[in-house]
Amino acid sequence: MAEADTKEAVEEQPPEPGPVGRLFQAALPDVEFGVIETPLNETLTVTRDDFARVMDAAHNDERLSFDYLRCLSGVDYLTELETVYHLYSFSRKHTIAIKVRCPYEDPHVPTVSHIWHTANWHEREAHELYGIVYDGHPDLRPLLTEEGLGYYIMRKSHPLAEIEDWQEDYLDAIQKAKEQAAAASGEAPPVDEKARKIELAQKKAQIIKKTRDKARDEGLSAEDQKAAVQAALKQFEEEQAAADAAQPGAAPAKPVDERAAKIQLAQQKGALIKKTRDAARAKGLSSDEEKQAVAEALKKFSEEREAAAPAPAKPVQDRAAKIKLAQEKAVLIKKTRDEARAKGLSSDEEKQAVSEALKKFSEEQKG
Amino acid sequence: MTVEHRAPAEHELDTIDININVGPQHPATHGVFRMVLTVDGEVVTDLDPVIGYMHRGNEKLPENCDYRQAIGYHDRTDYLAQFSTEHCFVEAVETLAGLTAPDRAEYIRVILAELNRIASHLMFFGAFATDVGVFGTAFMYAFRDRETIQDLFEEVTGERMMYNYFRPGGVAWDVPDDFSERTKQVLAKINSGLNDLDGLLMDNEIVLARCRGLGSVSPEDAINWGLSGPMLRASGVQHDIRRAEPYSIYDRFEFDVPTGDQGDVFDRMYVRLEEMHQSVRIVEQALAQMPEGPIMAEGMKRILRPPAGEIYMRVESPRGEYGVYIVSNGSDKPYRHKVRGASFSNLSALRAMSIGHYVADVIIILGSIDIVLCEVDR
Amino acid sequence: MILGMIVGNVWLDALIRLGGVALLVPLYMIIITWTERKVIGRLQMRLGPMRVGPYGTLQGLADTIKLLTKEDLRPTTADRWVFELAPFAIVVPVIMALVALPFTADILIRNLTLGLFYIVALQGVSIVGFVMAGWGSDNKYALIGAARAAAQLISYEVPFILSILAVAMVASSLDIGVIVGMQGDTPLIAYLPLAFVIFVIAGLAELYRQPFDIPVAESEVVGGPFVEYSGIRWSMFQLGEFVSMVLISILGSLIFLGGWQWPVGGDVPVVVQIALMAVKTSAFILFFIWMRASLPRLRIDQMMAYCWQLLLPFAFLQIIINGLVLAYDWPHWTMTIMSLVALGAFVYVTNRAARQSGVTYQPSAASAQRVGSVL
Repeated sequence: MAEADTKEAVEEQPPEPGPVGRLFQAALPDVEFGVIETPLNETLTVTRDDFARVMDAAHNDERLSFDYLRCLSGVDYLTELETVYHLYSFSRKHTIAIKVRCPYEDPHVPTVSHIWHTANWHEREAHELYGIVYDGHPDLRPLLTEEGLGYYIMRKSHPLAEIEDWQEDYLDAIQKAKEQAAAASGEAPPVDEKARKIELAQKKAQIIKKTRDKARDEGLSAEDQKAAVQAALKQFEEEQAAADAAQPGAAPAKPVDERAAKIQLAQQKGALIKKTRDAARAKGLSSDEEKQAVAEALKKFSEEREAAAPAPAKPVQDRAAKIKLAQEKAVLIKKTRDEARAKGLSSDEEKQAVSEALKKFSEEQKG
Repeated sequence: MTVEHRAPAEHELDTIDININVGPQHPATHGVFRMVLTVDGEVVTDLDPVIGYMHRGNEKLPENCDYRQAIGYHDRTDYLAQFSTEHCFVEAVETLAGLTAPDRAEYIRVILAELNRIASHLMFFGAFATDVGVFGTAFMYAFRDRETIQDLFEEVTGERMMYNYFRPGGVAWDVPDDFSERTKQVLAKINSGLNDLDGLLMDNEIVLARCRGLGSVSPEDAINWGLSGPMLRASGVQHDIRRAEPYSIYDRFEFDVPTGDQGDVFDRMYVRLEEMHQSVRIVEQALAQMPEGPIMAEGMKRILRPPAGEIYMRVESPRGEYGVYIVSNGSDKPYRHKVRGASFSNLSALRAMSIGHYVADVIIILGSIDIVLCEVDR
Repeated sequence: MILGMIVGNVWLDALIRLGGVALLVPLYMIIITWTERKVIGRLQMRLGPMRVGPYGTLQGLADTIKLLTKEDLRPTTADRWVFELAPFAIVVPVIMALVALPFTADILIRNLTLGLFYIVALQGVSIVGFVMAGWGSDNKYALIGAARAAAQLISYEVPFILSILAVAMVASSLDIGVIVGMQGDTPLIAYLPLAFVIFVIAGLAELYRQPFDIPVAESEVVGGPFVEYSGIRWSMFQLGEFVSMVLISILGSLIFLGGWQWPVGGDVPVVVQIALMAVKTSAFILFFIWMRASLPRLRIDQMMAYCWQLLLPFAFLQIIINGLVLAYDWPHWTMTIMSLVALGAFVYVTNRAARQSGVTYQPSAASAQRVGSVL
């Protein structure tokens, strides 16, 4: 009970900022800081809109000069996600913790990885464990967990026990939600080959288990058990095939993907080559002539193909244009840098000059 | 730390870069660390570290445990500096709950943590020398002395690896009666053992040729990359949390904070060797000062319920700043339990340190970081 | 001795002697393996093998049985014939080299007039096996290891041969029997200390032992060319390595330490001959083992720079000294003095280079491009 009282007391009288907090207020007079009392260091809360400015000032302002990011932690407050930054200053020997919150639905926070390099991995970690997106981070690949996990394991909603069941349910729910959304928008549900296979395998596993248990209860020998299981499986497969045949719509649509088309093309080409070569050999041509014949046949084939289905010319052009643009940019960068070096600018100034030149260039392009 | 990419000169043959996968099963990766090297001949042009093989949810699990149960998980984050990690956690809980451990318990903690630091650095020397190519000799030298420390720990805690000995408010039980004499014996052995290591490695011409000027990090870069511990001090930043923000009873001891000046691999080695000497000094002073008395604070409740609040506690572990961020909501379990591993931040600088070096040097740079993968992946 | 007495049919004689060598070599390998493990164990304050047999003496035998019965694995993507023949390409040349190597005046297979030349030539052939193994394994570690091995062996072959050439100049013969015969009073190491040091260093490099174990570095390329080998093929690599070690040890004892002659001289009894050779060869082998237990590893560019910028010029210096002394017919002790002075300079420069290399090392891809900028 005493704890609750103190908590209320804190809410009634917001604590005064400490010495470091006052430095922050002096540096950024127009930003509103919340203060939380914590042992060992002061803690300030800022809103997401002010956050980038605050962090920039924390690092660059003379009075603050927090040059060291000790720790970056994500915290899940059920309705909001919080990121806590613990900073330390080697020159001023003071510490601060800065907290910023973002709602669950829009978990975006500006990155600080360009200010402190060490934030790079810390933000990646908080991103994969809490799902907080750090806008502007160069590389938000998962660090500790596998790619494409689909859920955030450090959130409070992620259970500790029976994780496997939960994960399955969760992913199922996501899948179903997707299907429903698709159905609502009037599209045919995407047939997922993999999910179907998994489903099939699960059903099979169930049948195997059931049959085996039954066989064991009946007291059959190991071999008889196996035979029973196989018979049951065979029956299941036949039923499945019949069901597929009965519902042609439900059967997986032919995958119209790039890769299959490429494979098909390669197969066609292979058949053509073989045919031409056999013909050439039958005619008794020399190996050079044979090669030539094959090349001609291939050329003809691809011409026919292009005639049949006009190749998408536009992307090619796009690509060429992009390459050209990139080359022009590279030339520009080199030129600007050389000029800057000739002028004897520092590396920072040099960078700035390059970025200005690039900006100008892209504006010109747009114009 | 600019990265220079090499453009083939006119007289050179056209070459292609190849990728080499190092780890997770590789003798030099100190655990299950993996890095994908892009090499041009023997020169590394890119490096992609891959971690997470040891991720066991060491932050999540304690959030579902009683505060005392969570101590065991700290042993398992940094398995070479278990006492430092336990120290950090119990100090955090004590500050949060407003407890004060009795003096004797604090002295026991400091002695064990410092001995643990020596053991961890000895492990570093063994493993690092093997990376440099010494065929097991330095490893055996280091392990001979580490074994005496392990024996002492076993006598105190009954365990050789997962000690689980510190408690919020004190330690689990008192040390054996002959602890003081035994520790002095161990210190004598360590002192002579350190001289052996010094002679074997620190003035060896090949070690000098291999390690000096390698993987240099400037002080500014070191701070910006979040390096800590010997990595930071090797770059010339005289920062030791035991000195800068004293926790526990570290303000009662005299010790120096050794620093390097180049921030290279050799300086990291040198700083660690000197740190062991300083730890010996601290242990000697602590033994002399250690009082008799209780080892557990009075009026400890059966179940700890720290008031709602939060704390970021940090200690100087052998690898650097080991931090624990605990958010309490007044219940018997931490609401949020974050571990800031020193190796995690140190390892994130590996790519920047390694590019442009030879494959053999990258192995040494990795070794000089002294990573513990359990602490990186948690 | 038995070998020495056979005189009948030339072919039968050769066959029996070769058979003797073929039997003795694996046996000797077992003994050396045990010695190496035991000595390194002692240097590291361990006991070494203790379980199989008294003091672990049968450990080598147990290991051999284990290796022979292990599965002979081959990666599916390996280049089959290259992969499988590589161990032979390493073992056969070094065993062939033993043909011309006398152990005592009598215990030998054939004493060739160009024996030294023959041994050096065959010693260099084994690199083909390393490259075959590295290429055939279809493994990047193996490939890197093989490339390193090739670079290293080709580099160190040159100072190695030059140091032997210095001996041949003084003895004015390539016949090992003649070279040993002239060392009754003074071993050649007394005249050619610099050549001897170069011989030992280059020998270490040829054997891929610390500090030159770069091609097989365990912590970098995980065994280099051998990474994909197992069982009997792997043990053949080991056999090749150990026979090479024995070869270089015997060669060094013969041409620098006076073989079976020094310090007795004249007509030496056979037992004494064997004892002398055993002591000298063992000293070499123990030195190699000692180096292995105490030295770290150089980096590839440092190793190359060391060879081409230090070892090779000083080897040439020794040749020049020899040439001067022999051409102008100065007394041999002038050779000793000049060689010693050169050796002092060599040690000084090496030490200085090693201590400065780290300081001047600029880590960037651009500087790494200049191989040899380090030492």
